[in-house]
Amino acid sequence: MQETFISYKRFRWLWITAVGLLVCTTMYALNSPVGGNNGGTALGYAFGTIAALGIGLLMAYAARKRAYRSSLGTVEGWLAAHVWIGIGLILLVPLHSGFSFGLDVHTTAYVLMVGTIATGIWGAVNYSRLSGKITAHRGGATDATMLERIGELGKQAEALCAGKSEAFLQVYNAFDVPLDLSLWSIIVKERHPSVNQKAAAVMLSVISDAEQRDAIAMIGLLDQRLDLIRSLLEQARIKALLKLWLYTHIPLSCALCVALAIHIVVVLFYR
Amino acid sequence: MENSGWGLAGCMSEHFEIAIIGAGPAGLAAAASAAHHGLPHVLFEKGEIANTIYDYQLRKHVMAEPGRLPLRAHCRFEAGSREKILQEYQEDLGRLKANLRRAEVLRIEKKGETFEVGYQGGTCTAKHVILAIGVQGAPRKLGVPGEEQGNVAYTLSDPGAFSGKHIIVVGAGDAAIENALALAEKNTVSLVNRGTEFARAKDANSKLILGAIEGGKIRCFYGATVARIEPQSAHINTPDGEVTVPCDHIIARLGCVLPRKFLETAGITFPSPDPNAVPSVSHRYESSVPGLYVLGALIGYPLIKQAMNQGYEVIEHIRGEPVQPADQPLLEERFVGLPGGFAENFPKISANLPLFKDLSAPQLREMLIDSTLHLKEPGAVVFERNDYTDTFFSVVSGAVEIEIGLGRTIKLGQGQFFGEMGLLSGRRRVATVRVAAPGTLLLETPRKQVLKLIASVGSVKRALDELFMFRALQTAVFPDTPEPFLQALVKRAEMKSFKKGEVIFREGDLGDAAYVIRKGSVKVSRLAPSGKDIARTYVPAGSYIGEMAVVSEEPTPRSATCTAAVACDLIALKKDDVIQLLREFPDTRASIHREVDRRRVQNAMADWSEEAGSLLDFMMQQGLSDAENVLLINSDLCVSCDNCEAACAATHNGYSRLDRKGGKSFASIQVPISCRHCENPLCMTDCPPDALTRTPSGEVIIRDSCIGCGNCVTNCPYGVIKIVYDKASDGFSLRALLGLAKKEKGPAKAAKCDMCASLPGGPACVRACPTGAAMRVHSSKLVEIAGLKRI
Repeated sequence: MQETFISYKRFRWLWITAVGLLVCTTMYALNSPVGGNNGGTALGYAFGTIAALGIGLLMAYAARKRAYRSSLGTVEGWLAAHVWIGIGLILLVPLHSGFSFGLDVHTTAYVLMVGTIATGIWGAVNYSRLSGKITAHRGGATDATMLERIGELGKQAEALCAGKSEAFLQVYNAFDVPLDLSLWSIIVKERHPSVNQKAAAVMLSVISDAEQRDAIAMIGLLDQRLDLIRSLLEQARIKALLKLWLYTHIPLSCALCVALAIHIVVVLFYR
Repeated sequence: MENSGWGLAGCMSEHFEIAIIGAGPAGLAAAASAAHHGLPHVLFEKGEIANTIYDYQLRKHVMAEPGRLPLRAHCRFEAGSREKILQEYQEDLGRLKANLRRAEVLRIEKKGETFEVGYQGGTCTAKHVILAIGVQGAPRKLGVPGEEQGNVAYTLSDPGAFSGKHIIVVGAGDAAIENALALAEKNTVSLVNRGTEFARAKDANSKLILGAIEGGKIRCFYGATVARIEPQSAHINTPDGEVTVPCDHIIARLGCVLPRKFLETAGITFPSPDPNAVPSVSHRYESSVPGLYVLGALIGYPLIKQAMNQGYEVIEHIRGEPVQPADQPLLEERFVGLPGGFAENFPKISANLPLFKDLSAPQLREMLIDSTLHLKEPGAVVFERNDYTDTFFSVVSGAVEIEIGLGRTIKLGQGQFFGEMGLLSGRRRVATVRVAAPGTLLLETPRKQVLKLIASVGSVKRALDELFMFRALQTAVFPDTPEPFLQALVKRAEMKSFKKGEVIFREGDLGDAAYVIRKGSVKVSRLAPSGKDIARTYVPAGSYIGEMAVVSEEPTPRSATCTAAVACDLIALKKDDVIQLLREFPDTRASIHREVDRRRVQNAMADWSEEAGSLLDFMMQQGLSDAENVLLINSDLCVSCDNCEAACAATHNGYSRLDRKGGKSFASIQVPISCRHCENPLCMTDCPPDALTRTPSGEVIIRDSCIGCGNCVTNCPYGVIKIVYDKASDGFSLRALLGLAKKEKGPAKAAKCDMCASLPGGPACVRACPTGAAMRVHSSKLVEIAGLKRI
């Protein structure tokens, strides 16, 4: 199996995170402060500090990714750390709070963090599952060539309609689904179904023998066109999914930062 | 006829001190000197004065190369128009009252102490004869089918006579370049250059033609020859295969054949039977016949100024005046600081270096003026393995040691030479060389000078070819075999060139030869059980192919098909020769058989994968087998974030030197448009300021001396070099941040990947890839990347 940012250096950051969490959990289990575990205990403060530093490190990824001259590790290594440490925070933060949650700014920060992490996982899964499926990366058709071919097929089908009967034009109208490249069309896949064979057969039966050959050729062309449209939309969907998650991840992480800052100020100055 | 020397009776008994044959620059200068000193002389000319200049295109600007060399003559010459120079010659001859006779000399015969010169219309005698007839008499022919048709010419006097035609000019010398440039004004011109550079041309011409090629005015085929000619088209062999070019006329400017027979009947001897050989002359230009001097192009000196200086020097010598050649100060400069100086060391060079024994004295002087002498002590490193320097070294005295690896060394002594791999364009040094004897004197000659000698002196070419083969066999194939075996093999070996994509041999054919790859790389493919030909591996330069079929005494079929992955030079070793030699050297035979058996086992263990084979094939089609360091992107991991391009632009003044989307891709590999730092970099082929160079660590970089001529952009087959204009930004400023800073348009510069030489962490593209899809690899990793076992 080839190495990815997830398995980077034999899951180095997974192991580091796992060992760290194991140590923290053990300390948590052995610790029995008066009033039970919570964020106000010494251990609670320690875990809180570690978690805040962890979040700081995760945010620093954004800076490292753009520090193109930096020789501080590789961006891939940073991403590996970002993913595994981020996942680890899901457990570390409850250890910090003694698993106490409520309807307050503190739990809001946790919820935002989990949301950020969840969207991050969504992104990581998309990266892992979809990256190999971009046909243009594999010597296949690019969007531009597909669009061009879709146009050609449409024109060829249209050309066959010249001087044909009403029945012939009905077949054309039935299967000449307009090209819809809207986001909605990309997400809902079935906007451009293949030619329905049964319906096509019914329509063909009322077309004169003289026009039969052209009608069949036209249906073939339109079906090819629809297949290609679906491939194009599939590629668009893949590319959208590779970017879309970021539009949730980034705002959530910004909101998390604000909530975290409020949480720290409230805890340190108002308790 | 303005001269009255036609009288028959008067000539029969005429005697001159000096008879000068040929009124070209050398003959004119000699006659001018003789007339100046009042020596009885005659100057014979069958055609026009300075015939070659006369034949130039009208109003052609004649150059005065080499610039550094001073002119010494009693007639004038400086760069200027054809008309001005011809007029000055006429005036000076008239002013000095030179004795010009318009007649063709038919024979020269030495009778006792005098020469009898027979010419059209008479005979005369002379004490000294100066032969300066040039080589323009007999143009070299193309020698290809279709040449007999009327559309091939060997001279061009009026390019204005052609318009709107398709014209092919063949040649890479000054005549070809000047004709091509003049014709390109009104015609579609293609230039066929047998080599990859314009090494023989004057620098100025070389720049002009490269500019025209870059500007798209002339199409140039490098490494190409005319294959055959048809009435409306011509077929041209190029490194990428045969192409057909529309063609109304062919102008072949391939130089001229020396009038060797005429010279030989006069008693002049030649150092070798080579058709390119020039007569041996002393440093006073005296031939093997005492009193008979040969000047100018006949002895390999085609330049006007050099020829005129020779004419002057010969007359001084005949007058008994001590005279030094005009280039003497330049030459002596090379010896400053050496114990014994010029006087002691200069004679050593020709005496100790047999490689240069066929060079005429002037050729030797020119080579030395461009070379450097090094006096070194034992242990001093001449160059290191994997350095990318490209000069050529000869051991004038002392010795050096070549470390060929595994603790083995080869010792070279006086008269031997090394560094020949550097002559094969930008290859790395394959071994470290150290001085091994006290007071070792080495001669370091620039690549361009040696290439010039290879092109003009047959024995230098042969000696270097044999050395290439010997070293290639010794280092790559048979390191432990005795030298006599290798030497015998080299004597029987043959050089063969293959174009990209050309099949060297096919699977199943009976093997008749093994090949050592001298330049380029070879694709090995085999028929899969499905019947499809699948790429299996590639073999780089310095390695060998086809050995299995030739070491066995039985007829052995080829186990694989071998195809040239890029243009290749191979050394062919014939089966019969190998078998015969192996019988004579039983020890060698045993060790070679062991090596062959090992390869057989490897082959048997090799796996089959059509998918992997196709991927390897794709990568080789992209020219990656020539890559020293190429950026590849793993499509399984790439999420098209283009952070690689952003990183490249951010670290290179805002211009990305890689284009991810623009490149080709196949299966799991994308090959972005980005420099591969080729083993044989074509970009370096013609860089006028020599700005393109290899750093000692192997990157091909463009230095600041770049003049933005764009030759490299044209020569790079992979389109990775761009011309950029922007001035370097002065760093951060508020104006710059707000986008208000005026961008000044700087001078044009070529730009390409420099492997982020200035960054401590290495190439930013790879380090900025979040998914680990970007990688930088050497061609030796291709087989692994394709997912095949290394064989």
